Amino acid sequence: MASSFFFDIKNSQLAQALWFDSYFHTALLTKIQRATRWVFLLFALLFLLTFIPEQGVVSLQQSRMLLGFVFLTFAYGTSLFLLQRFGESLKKTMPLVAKGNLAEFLSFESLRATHSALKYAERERFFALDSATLLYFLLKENPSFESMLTRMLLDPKELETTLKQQSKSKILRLRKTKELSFAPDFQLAITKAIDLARAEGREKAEVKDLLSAIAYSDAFFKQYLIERNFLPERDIPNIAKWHYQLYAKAAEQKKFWLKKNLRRYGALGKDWASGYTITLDQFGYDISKEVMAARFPRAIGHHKEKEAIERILSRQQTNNVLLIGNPGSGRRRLIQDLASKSVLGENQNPFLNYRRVVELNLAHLVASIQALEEAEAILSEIFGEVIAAGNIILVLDDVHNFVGEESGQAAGRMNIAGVLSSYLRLPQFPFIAITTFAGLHRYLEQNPSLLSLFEQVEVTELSQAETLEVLQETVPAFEGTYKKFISYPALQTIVAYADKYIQAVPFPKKAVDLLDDAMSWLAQTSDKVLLPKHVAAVVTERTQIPVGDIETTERETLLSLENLIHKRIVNQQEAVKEIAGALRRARAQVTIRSGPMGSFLFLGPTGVGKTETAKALAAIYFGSESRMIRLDMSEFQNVKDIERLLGTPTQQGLLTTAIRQDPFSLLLLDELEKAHPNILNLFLQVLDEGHITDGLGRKTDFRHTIIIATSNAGYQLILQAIKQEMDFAHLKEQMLDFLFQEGIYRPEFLNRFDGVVLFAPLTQEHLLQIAGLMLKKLQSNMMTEKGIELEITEDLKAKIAELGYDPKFGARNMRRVLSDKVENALAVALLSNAIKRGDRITVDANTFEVKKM
Amino acid sequence: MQSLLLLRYVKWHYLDASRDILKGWGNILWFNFNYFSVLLLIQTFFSPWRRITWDYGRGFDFSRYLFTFASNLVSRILGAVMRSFLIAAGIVMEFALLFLGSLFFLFWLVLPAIIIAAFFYGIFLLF
Repeated sequence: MASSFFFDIKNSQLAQALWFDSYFHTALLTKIQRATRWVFLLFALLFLLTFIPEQGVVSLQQSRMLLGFVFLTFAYGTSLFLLQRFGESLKKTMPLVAKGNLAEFLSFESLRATHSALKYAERERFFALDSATLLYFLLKENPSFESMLTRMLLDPKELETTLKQQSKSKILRLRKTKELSFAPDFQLAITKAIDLARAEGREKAEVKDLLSAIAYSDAFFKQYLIERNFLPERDIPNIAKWHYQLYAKAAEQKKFWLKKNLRRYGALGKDWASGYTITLDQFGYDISKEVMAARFPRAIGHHKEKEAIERILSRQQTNNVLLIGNPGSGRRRLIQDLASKSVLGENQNPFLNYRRVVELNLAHLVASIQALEEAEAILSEIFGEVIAAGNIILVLDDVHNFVGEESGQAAGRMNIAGVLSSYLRLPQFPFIAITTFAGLHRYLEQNPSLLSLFEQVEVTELSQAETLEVLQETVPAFEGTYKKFISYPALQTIVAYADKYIQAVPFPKKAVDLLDDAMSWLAQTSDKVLLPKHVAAVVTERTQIPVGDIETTERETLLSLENLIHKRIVNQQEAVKEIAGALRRARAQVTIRSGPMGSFLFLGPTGVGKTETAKALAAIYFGSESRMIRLDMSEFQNVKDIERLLGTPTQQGLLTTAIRQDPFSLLLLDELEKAHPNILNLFLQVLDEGHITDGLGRKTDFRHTIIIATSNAGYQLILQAIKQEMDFAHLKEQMLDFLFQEGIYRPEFLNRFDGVVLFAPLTQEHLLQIAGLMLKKLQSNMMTEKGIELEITEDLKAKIAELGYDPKFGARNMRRVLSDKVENALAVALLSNAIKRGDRITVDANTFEVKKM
Repeated sequence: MQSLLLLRYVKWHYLDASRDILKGWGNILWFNFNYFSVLLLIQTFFSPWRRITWDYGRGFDFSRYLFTFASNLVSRILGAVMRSFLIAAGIVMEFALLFLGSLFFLFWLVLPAIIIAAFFYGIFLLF
């Protein structure tokens, strides 16, 4: 690298600009010039005052002097203006490629910082110029960099001081030879910055490219960012690009004479070539007007969709678009994008330029006109107007509500399929219908002839990176409305949490909504900056998931998982240890995985605590037992039952809907062996890839779900093994062999689980402990609810254990026995006023009578 | 360096900046034409006003034919009259912009001389 690295500032094209800037600092010139302009205006005004008759305030001599000042300030201000513009022009030279001088490929601001760094290194007698010194000068000379760091919640002054101290502490840098060389990290930063600029189609590397490159090349800066929870190679380019775009946009908007800016004023005469749309105006909403008021919003991402819409609308035949996507995926934004481009005349195809994009409000039409025939006649008139006007692109949202057989009967709806079909065939009738996947399958697919008149465009969900861009675009508006500052880490947290905890709504809507919620929440506090902790608080409020400080809570829970489970589960040391271990491995991301958060198969006889362990895990890990979604797999013994699990256009999926609404939960699949083998195959994909497609074509994500399947297949082997006092590890092998041989589960299916856990049958001693746990819960309930102290005797525990145990059902009956015998007795005693608040009581182990103590 | 910079200034003032001014001026002239849609209005000069037309219908009925023809003719005449106003306004504005633009461009060309003159005249007035 060293041999090919040629970097010479003095002989670069921008050397003159650097020299000029060192004498006439253009930023300073601008300020002086503005001040001079005011002084000039003041003198001009004072001079004009002398013409007011009979005032006599100013003498002739004074007025002569004022005019002199007017001329002088004009000459001075205009000279400064010319100097400043000339200085700016010097900065914009084309690089001389032939000489191979890399300094040619840096923008003026980048080169100025590099030049200052170079001079500093020479002055301080450095051995070589490194990227940290360059970073120091970038920070010092570019105020935009400072605001960028503030956005990242970093302290620019602290970074500046640290960089300075760091550069001074390196004594090895003292120059021994005359020539100052370039350190490898500096060379890497320069070449990388130039590459980054070229990747974006720019000739010169801007400050933002240098910053991104330094985050990539400089070990110190990298470490600094990592310690503050940033990913240097992802976050710095992202936020730098955001800031650069903001500055570039503001600079561009100032140049009113650019065609791009002039186009915003529209065209007066274009409308005159089109016809009137009186009825449409009554029942329509002009999206073109909306985008003009909103300063021409653009859609981020969705490039393929945008191209497809333009292509289809430009056709001579079937120029009707059916936009399919979930609400919140940005379907409307795509229409706004089209309308913006059309108003500005920026569409590739001139046919789509200067068109009015109008949304038909059919619900309003149906509500205003009672008779169906009349409504149809008006609709026909509207469609006729669209054709006659010749400049309309008609949009209809939720088209599925107006085309199905059922539409005719429901209130606020009508079936327009017939009228619409006859117009859709005409090329003069460009039409965009918006629908959902459910609407498409349920209504539109029932009418193939209507569907054939549309070209379908599926709106995919935006990626996390694109959503972050959407959020960045909304930041100025939110900050303006709420007068609060939004930090970059807060935006990152919003995207991460929206992805993790909100599934029913797609990106970008769920993230934008969360930002809105967080800002209105913040507005009620005295805090001035939106931080990740505020976002966490809002997510907790919305989802009831304890997100606040999840890192610490989750870490503590994972570390003491065994103890926490054992507070509720008796025995099963092996099982609990295995679950805790697997969950810790999964959460610490020791292994690269795409499946659910954790997946386990619990094997063992009935009543040994399999379900109870799952419940305990839900309560401990997700904060509540209600976060457990339980599916009895014995209800899914036929292939047809797949529809019930995944849903259909007319029916919610038992599995998919529950997970979409509550992805951060525990899924319990009870008696898995009873499900149809094809259903097990479905779970193969879930366990492997962490997602499944539901009956409406939507992706359901299981990445934040713990899946536990229970099965008592082969429990006889466990019972036998206990009798023979067999080693548990050996038993597991035997058990798996048995399951494969019997064809109950296939090896590839069992291998997908993070752990196959054996549950041992309970001994008398365990039963006593279980009885103790249950009685303890009752005891605490009695105390808090009724203020009565229940004394638990060993005899009572033994009796419950004895009555509750069944060799076939394990400890399952124990709960029923407790209710029948103890809870019933307590209820009778309470109702008959035999016991009251403040009493200390016990229950007789033989007669189950309540006795006062 | 200084003499080189002086040469560069002259080049910038009379070539680069002048070209940019002409370009910006061109954009404004284009915008004016586009804003009044002069070309489109000329192309559609005799088109019916707001596309309002009457259908001749089936069969031949002389009086109906005459009435429809007259109505459509009125629509076209009305369109032409309305358009001519806008076209005229657009053209007048275009000439006004041409005049103002050339005035500004001339001012730009002699600006260095004006600055020097203003400076010396200011000094003369003061002392």
